[in-house]
Amino acid sequence: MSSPELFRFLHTGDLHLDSPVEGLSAEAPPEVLAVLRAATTNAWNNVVGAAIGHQIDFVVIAGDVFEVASPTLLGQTRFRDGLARLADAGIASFVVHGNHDPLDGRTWAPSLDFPATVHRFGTDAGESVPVMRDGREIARIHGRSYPQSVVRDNYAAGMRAQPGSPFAIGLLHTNVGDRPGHHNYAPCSVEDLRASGMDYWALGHIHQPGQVLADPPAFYSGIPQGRDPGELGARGCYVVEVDAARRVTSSFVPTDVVRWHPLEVSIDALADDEAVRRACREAIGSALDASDGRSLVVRLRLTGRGPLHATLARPGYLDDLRQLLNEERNLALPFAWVESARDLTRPEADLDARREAPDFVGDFLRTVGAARRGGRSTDPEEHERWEKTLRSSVAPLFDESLRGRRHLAKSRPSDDQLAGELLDEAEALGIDLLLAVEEDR
Amino acid sequence: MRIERIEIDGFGRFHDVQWALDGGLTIFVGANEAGKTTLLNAVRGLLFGFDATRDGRTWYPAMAGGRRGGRLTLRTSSDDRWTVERHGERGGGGALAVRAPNGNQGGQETLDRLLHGADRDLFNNIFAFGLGELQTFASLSADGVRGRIYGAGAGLGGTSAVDIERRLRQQQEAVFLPRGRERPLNALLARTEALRVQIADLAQQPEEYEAAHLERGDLRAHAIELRGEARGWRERAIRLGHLRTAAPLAADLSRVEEELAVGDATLDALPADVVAILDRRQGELAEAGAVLASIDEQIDASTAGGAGLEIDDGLLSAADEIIGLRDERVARRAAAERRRDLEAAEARHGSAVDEQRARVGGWPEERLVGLEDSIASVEATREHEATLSEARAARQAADQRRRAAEDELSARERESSVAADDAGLDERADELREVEALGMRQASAEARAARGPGPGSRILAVAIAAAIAMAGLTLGVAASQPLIGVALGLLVGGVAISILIRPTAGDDEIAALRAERVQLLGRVGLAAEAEDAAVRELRDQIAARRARRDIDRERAAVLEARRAEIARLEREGEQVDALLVSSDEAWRDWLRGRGIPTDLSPEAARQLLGAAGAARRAAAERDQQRAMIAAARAEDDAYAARIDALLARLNHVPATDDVHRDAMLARLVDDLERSRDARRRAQELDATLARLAERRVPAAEVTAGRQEAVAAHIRAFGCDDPDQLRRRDAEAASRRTRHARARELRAGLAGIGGSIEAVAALVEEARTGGSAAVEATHVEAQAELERVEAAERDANNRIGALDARIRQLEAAEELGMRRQELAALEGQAAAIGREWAVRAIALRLLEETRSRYERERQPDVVRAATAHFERITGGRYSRIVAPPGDASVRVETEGGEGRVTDELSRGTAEQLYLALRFGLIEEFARHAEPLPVVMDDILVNFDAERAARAASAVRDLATRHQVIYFTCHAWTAELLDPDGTRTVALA
Repeated sequence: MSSPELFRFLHTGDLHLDSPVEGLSAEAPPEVLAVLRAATTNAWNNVVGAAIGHQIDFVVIAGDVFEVASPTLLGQTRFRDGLARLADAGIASFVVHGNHDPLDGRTWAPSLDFPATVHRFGTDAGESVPVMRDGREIARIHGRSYPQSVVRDNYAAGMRAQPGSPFAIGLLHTNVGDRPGHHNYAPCSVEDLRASGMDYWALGHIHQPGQVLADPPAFYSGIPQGRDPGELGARGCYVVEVDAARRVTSSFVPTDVVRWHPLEVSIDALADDEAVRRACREAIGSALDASDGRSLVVRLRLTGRGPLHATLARPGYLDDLRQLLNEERNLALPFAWVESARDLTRPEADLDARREAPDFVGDFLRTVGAARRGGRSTDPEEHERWEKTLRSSVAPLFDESLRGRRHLAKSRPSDDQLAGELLDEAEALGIDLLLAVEEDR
Repeated sequence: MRIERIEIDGFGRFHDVQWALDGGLTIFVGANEAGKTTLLNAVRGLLFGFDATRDGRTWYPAMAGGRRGGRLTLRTSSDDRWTVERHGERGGGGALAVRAPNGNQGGQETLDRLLHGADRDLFNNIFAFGLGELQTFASLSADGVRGRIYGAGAGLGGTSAVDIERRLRQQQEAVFLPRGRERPLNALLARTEALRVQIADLAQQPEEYEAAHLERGDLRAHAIELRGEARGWRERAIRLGHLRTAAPLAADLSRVEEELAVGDATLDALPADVVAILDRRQGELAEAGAVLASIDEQIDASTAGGAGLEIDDGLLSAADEIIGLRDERVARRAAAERRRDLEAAEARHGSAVDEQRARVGGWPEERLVGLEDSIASVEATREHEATLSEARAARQAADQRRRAAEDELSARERESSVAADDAGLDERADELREVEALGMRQASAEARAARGPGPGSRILAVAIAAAIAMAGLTLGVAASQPLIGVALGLLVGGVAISILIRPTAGDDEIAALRAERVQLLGRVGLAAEAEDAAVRELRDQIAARRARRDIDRERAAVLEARRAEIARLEREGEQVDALLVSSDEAWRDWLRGRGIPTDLSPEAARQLLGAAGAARRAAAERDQQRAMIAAARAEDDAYAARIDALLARLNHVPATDDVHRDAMLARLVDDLERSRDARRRAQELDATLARLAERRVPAAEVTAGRQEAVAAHIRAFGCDDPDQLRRRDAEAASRRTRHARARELRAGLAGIGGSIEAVAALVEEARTGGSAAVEATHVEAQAELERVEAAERDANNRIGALDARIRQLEAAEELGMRRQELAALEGQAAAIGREWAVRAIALRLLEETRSRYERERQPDVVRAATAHFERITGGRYSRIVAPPGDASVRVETEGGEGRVTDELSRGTAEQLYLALRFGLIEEFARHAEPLPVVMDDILVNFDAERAARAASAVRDLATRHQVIYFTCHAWTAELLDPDGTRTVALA
């Protein structure tokens, strides 16, 4: 087995091209929407640019190139164009399919002319291809694609480095260690990775970039562009350098063009709504300064406790605030567009004291407390009663309405939400209304 | 709270009426239509607004007059007085004014607070009810009624929990309705659904793309096949087309070739230009013949032209002389002009001389022009003139000065008077001055004698002297002259001392002074007793006389000086006269020396000298001009002589005068010119004849040579004459045309066939194939070609359309856009749905809370109602059962027998509802201001016993609440108010 020469490759995956921008709770202005819509494509272009800029030898793509199994031709064309740019720069590409773009889907339209330097792995467990440079093999890539969207088999366990490989790379779309919040597709354990004999595992599926294992080095490249409020912060790919002693140095290269940014502003020390605006404005300015030139989609959360709580609770106030903040900043690039503003503030009143009071407000707080306890209760009867109460309150929209059932399935409140954040907000709303009445008296 | 006063401006049958009410029970008794229900409704209307009727008519219009409405005066438990005033013509709130005890005015909100959230429903059902309300349980169990009753104790102002729920519910419904379509969330979900369908359609694009690719591939292959087929048909059609075109050409070619074969082939050797050469040579021969003939003609003409020329040799020999005389004649004419000018000038200058002579008095010319008029002479006249002028001026000035001096002297002599006797004036003046001094001294002595001097004045004198001396020292020091200061001080001080310490005059002194004065007065001619005034007058007279004397003395001195001056001037005048005489003598000597009369003044002499100069210059000019005129006349005469001599020599008649002479000369000149022309022409003709003779020889040679060349050309082509040659050439030309046509046809066939071999084949094929068959086959091939080409075009068009569609699909953004739109809609729907969920949960929690609250409060109400019910029924019923959240109520008899309301008699049911109302009224009052209770004949369905018990309960209630009871039954009034003290008759 000869030592490989120094070479570099780029590890990416989960491009999710053609993804719509999800989770926008307000209608985005056209200039913002244009940036958001083009974000995944432009991030892919940035990946290609990074590959060419870093003079890498080849690119590995760890599945989920497309968001859907029937991507748009435009998306496929742009992906093909990126591969063609790589091919023009003498860079070969190696791709596996993931659960979003399985082989039984309509991705990679046969009529699109993909470059010959692109290798797509099939479903064969033992498939591997050499990477050649100047007529010599510098690395060997082992990969396996998803035949369909749901794969419950442990693919990693069946992948073994070919003896004598100068440098073996495993390329796989998988959930290592059954990470919660992700489909447990092609599940495997770190032990499986260790046992494979690979020199590097180029993984896809988890959108948060990061290292899974030190030896052998195993990385999730993450998604090159965060697409919804759950995919916060910088996103990109890894440029991996392999030296003559097979030592691996990987460096993260951000490729995103716009970032989701949660922003919390506390009203604790704020005196009036002008101060709220100022605090928000400053927070947005700081966030933008730290965004590395990227545009931001800001989710504003107003928190804390104080007299301004009542102001914020006024109908339409938050919408107005959001609109004002957006109007103040023109949307030239890089922009900071406030996508939503939520009021998580609490009234100044001492609710603990009110909870003890023998009046209607006290009754209300005690009712909420009972609901909260019931929602978490281990007593099945108690739990069921409250779950039923809360669930039935939201059922007309989420369960009983046909369209609600069809189109709000994703946002149907979970039991935890019902007895958790939604209950908290309902409590705040009820208290606001009751205390406002008290103040009126 | 109670109603203290009801005032009605207009309501139904009431107009401008009022009632004052006490707390506790008030019974209004009236017959039917007395207005009991009207009054009940008036109270309701004033508190909560006027009802709207369904038929659009006004509810209780002010039939008796006034504005519909009125006012209530309310008295609270804290003894505050409020007024509630309401007017309005239509249904609704009308114009409401609530006046607080402090005079502030408010509106509906103030009234709501005053009534502790009680609204129309609550009041009408619980507090102000008639038989109609009493007979249904629904009015009791209405949600709002319960909520408000219990809410009064909820610490929220009674109405709030229900209001909050209603507000939340409205907000919910504004966003989403389970069966709605227009609400924002409903609309969003509908759009989402439509979009999903659209996306599903768009998602088929990749299939279409692949299908388009496949179809395009097939079409391309088919198009290639068609192209091959078309090429075959095209070639065949072309070939047939060639044949069709070639056939007539080939026939033509054959005919031409046959014609050539039967002709004289030797003619093909005849050059094409043989006739052209013949023509050229014949032309050249003609040209040469013409040249020769022309020369001969010129010789004849020249010979004839020389015969008539006339030449005068005598004249020609005198040519130079004639021309010289002709040229000189011009000079002579100019000389005659000049001579005339000279003659005029000579006359002018002669006149000038005569003029000067006349100026000087007719002097002979020789004497006048002989005078010396040099510049020196003229200057000499000026010098003499100046000398004479100076002498005369001096003489004149001396005379003037002398006459002036004499005039002044005589004037002064006239002014001076004879001097008066002024002797002794000065002495008398001195004496008078002394008389006055003596008078003053005398007066002073007399004054001193009258006063006498004291020691004080002496001390004062010394003191003043010392002070002044010190002051002088001080001033002197200040002025840096201390010594001067001291001296001045001492001097002034001394004088002061001498004045102040003078000794007192005695009588002796006075007498002496007086005697001296008298003496002096006598001396000046005044009496001894003369007063001071007389002395002063005399003194003034003497002073005037002395002044006059001084003036006379001065005048005499001036006269003497003037006389001396006159004498001096006379001497001076004599000297000037002598000078004048000598100057005049000198002038006359000068004139005499020049032969000029001596009586002339220098000015006249200068004029004479000027005239002499002018006369001399004019005479000189005149003499010169006379000489020139004479010379010119001599020249003219010589010229005439020369002409006359020439004329004689040429045998012409002599000239009679200058004019004739000029004419003769002119004729000679003309004749000379003609003779000269004739001679020149004869010379030219001789030269021309010589040249023509020279040219004729070669021309004759050329003509002969060209005749031979023509003959040789004709002979060379075997002809005897030119016409024969021309005929042969015409035949040869015809053959050449056929040859050319044959070549042309062959080239045309070659163009169709492509090569010489092909031409041969084509010619052969064209000859053998029938033209009709070729035509038919060609038409068929053309049709096939068109069909195949159209099919190929169709295929290519379809390929183009597919290309465009493929490109369009590759670039289609719509699917992405729709997916994005869907995501955005879902995002918005989720956000709105979430807000909706929060409100839904909050609403549910509020309902839960209120329900619990009511459950907890309800037992008190039911307990109180049970007590009332038991009392009214005389213990027949012992229990009311009203399960929380249940809209029904049950009762139990004394024996424990349960009954639902439907099982109760009408009266008993009304008693149950009355008892429940009492319970609710008391529950409300537990937490809020008790409201007045108004009942409209509610006891009519009770039996006498229960009516009495109910009346007792009402009376009992009236101890805690104001109760207003309307009835038309006297017995009811008696039951309620046995004393009749609280009963009001309603007329």
